[in-house]
Amino acid sequence: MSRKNNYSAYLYILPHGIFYLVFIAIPFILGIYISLNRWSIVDGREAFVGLKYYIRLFDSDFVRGGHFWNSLWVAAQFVIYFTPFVVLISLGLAILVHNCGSKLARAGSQFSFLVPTAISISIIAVLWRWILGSDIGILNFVLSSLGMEKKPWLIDVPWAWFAIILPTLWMACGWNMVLFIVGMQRIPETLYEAAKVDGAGPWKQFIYITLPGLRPITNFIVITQLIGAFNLFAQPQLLTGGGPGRATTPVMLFLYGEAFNPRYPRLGAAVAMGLVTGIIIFSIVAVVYFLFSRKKE
Amino acid sequence: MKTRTRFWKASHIILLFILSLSFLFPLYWMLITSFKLEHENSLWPPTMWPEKFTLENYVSILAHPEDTPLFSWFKNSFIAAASYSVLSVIISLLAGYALARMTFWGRKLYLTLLLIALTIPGIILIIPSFIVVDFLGWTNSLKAIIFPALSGTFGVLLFYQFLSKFPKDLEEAAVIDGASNFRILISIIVPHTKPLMLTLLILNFMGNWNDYFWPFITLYSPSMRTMPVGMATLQGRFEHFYGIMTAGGVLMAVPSIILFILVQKYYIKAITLTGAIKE
Amino acid sequence: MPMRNCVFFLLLIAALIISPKPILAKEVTLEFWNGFTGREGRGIQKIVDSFNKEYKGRIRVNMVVMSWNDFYGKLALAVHTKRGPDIGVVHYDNVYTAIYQGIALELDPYLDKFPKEDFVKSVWEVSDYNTHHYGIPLDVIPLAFYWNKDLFAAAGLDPEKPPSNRAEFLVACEKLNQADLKKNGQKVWPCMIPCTWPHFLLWQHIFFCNGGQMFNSDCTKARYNSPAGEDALQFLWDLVNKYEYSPRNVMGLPANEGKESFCRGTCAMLIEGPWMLSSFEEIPELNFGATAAINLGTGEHRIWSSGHTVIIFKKKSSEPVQISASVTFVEYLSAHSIEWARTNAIPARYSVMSSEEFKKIPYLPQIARDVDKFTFPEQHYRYTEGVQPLVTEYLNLCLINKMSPHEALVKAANESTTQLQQDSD
Repeated sequence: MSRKNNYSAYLYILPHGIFYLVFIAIPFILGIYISLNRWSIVDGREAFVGLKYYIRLFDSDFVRGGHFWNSLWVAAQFVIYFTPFVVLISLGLAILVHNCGSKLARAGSQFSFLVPTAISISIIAVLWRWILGSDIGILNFVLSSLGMEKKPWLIDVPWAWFAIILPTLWMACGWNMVLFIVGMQRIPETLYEAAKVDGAGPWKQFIYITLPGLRPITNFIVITQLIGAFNLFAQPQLLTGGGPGRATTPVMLFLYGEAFNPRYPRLGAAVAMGLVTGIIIFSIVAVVYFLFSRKKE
Repeated sequence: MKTRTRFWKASHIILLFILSLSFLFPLYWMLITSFKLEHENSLWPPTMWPEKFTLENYVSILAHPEDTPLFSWFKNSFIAAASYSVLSVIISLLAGYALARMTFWGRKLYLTLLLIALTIPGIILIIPSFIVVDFLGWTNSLKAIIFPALSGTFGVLLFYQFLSKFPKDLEEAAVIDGASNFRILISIIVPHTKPLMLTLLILNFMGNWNDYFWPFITLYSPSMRTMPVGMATLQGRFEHFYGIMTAGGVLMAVPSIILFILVQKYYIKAITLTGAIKE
Repeated sequence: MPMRNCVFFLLLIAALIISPKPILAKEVTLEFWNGFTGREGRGIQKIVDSFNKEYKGRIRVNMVVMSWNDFYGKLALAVHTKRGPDIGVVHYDNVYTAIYQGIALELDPYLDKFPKEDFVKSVWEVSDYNTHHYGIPLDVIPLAFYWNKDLFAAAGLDPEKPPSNRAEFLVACEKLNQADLKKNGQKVWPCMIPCTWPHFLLWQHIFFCNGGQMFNSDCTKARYNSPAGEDALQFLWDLVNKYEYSPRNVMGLPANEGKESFCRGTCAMLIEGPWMLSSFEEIPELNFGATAAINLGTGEHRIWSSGHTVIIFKKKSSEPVQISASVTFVEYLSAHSIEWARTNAIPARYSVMSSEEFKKIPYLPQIARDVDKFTFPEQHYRYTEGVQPLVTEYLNLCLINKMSPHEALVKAANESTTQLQQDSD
């Protein structure tokens, strides 16, 4: 197979390389450049401002800086509230489906859980806005028939968080369930048989064989959710409008408002905020990754 | 003992059944609402079945192609997703093959660059990419939805990983016979990676089809939009008319669901692929 | 024979060269951007289509529509791109922004085509800046007051006489509450106060009726936490929490529960924009009345207004022929604004407002009756930034009962002032 410096390889790499250059490398460098300058609509680059947009974020008097940190906290809250539920529910569904005796029931339920993953987020958001509407939404109807009070799902915290998390769970659990099922299928049957011989019941088997066996896939899911959670955009935009106040305005929605701001597109500042966010995300993911890999037994 | 396990088995199935119904209920609700007359949506308690079955919501959407060019949206989504998925598979295969099988200066460097790209949070690149796309004059054109994403590194790494583990004997035999790299690629590699290619194709197709944020910021005239963005438009126009909005939702979700049903097996494989790359 | 052909050919070429008619007259294409979707979009498209027909071969206008948020978001970056807009429609409070951003063209040389006296004065002045004029008003959009005539009758109120001031409004609310009406098993509310947009419009309307002023003259300090502002917010808060004439937690944007409720007949009175007329008219069972927003303040009756202005963009790459074509189109648009009025907009020209055709449009003439009371928010390019805390956060927090009106306004004013004294970039 090996040939000395195969020049034709460059031809094979070239298509991808061009796109990589134009849409990853250049934007990355361009981003840094943009964040160091003030930009005007008419004149383009107006002035070099150096690290102003970065330093400003750490000035507690800077109003928009406060909004930025708030949006990061909102994104973090989403991760904290969402990740445990998505892992637990997906795992639960996976256990139920994987261990089900009837093939028909398995196929049918897997299908039901997976269908929402195939639908676009904007359709899901609008649908759930209809379901969660305070006045005539069906969820409040179910609650009131059970004797509970109608809740302002889209308007007030903490219910607004449910409004964001419920549709996201609905959309994501099927996907992660499949990952868990595959993870379970990869655990060798022999381990379970050995445990049965030792007299371990199903519960013990679960704790000592299944869970550890699923650790890699769980790590993967947690890290993916961590990274993906910062992209949260459609649900708050279409369901809660970012409210009440800024309580559900995550970083992507906030940056969108800043960069595409109707009155004063704040390109330099927005890109700087994006870079700071990126560094923070990267650091968190790196820490989590190392924590997880250290735990390897 | 037997009846006990049968009991557990049965209740297990019943539990799954109930959960499945709960998951499907929102879709049912969307479907049902789309066939109701608008005033029925304000009834309390809400009705589980339309009092009067009507198609007027669908007519409202389909009758105004100036506002809601559903067919254009569908066409745009399809062209973009199809072009993107086919191109991405080809490009990824070529690059992955070269990285896995050929030696050249910069090979390790390129691999490192790919891994770095995988770890860069997308949020850093969004605004600058938009500016690049705008500079190229691609805003409000399908080019903005098709080409930038071809820089993705997932597909390349996928093929690289797969081909690295792939046994070389067939290729070595072909080399002895004097076949060029390209011939090897076409006649040996491609047939053996067909399932992988197909899976990646479907994964990328659906990802592009359902993408919301990027088309939202790059496409702005009604006729150029893709379906997810069109759905958000519907909300702006018909914010109060839930019958019409759910009808729109149904019209736009149905193609996705049909596609999903057709390729379910590969779709599931695709999901597992995304998990495999990290190993 | 070849000689004769040559001569003929040469004569032909000579004729073409010295002929005054342009042989290859290039059709000028104009990009016209706006945010008019739905029925409004269709109305303006009609005018665009008839213009294209009349000017076929000479000028072609290509209309590009998107949501207003998208429009403003993309506008600033788009004006200078290759396929960017030549003409656009902006809201009144964005004319100054466009001027400040340097993308609005001075229209002084073309004002002979637009008789100033024919335009509603307050509306025209909005496009004046530094002795130059930058926009041609298309319409005026006053805040409107809607009431459900059937519900009025059922509560013992005169369906043809809506309340005209705060006291009468409260009386009407009380009567509606006491009548304890129900529709489809749901309670009928006298009014609905939204917790999110358009809550700001309601508040600002009452604020104007109280004679309030939003900012100081150079827009560096917020002045809206004055007694005028507090009274306005307190009144709204009272309607929800003290009198309970409006339910709590009425969702505005991204939904619009107040409007939905009015459409369903479970809300008797609503203050919303006139853009809702089309939606209400589409519901045959809804028997409603509309007038300009009533005086819910304690002072002189002022009616909150906005409106659309047409501006021509000052692009780096504009050619004179494009600009004159743009002017022609704007002139046409303005002259044909009766067609625009049919989409339920009040035209900015007196001549159109007093025309017979306008008087035939339902509801609009009544809303336009008090045109001299239409009040516009202050014009300053940092105005929108200054009201941001109110619009995004503090009005909302007060109306969902997380803060008192006083606290909300003080906090918002502090944040506004601080933000206005920081850079806008």
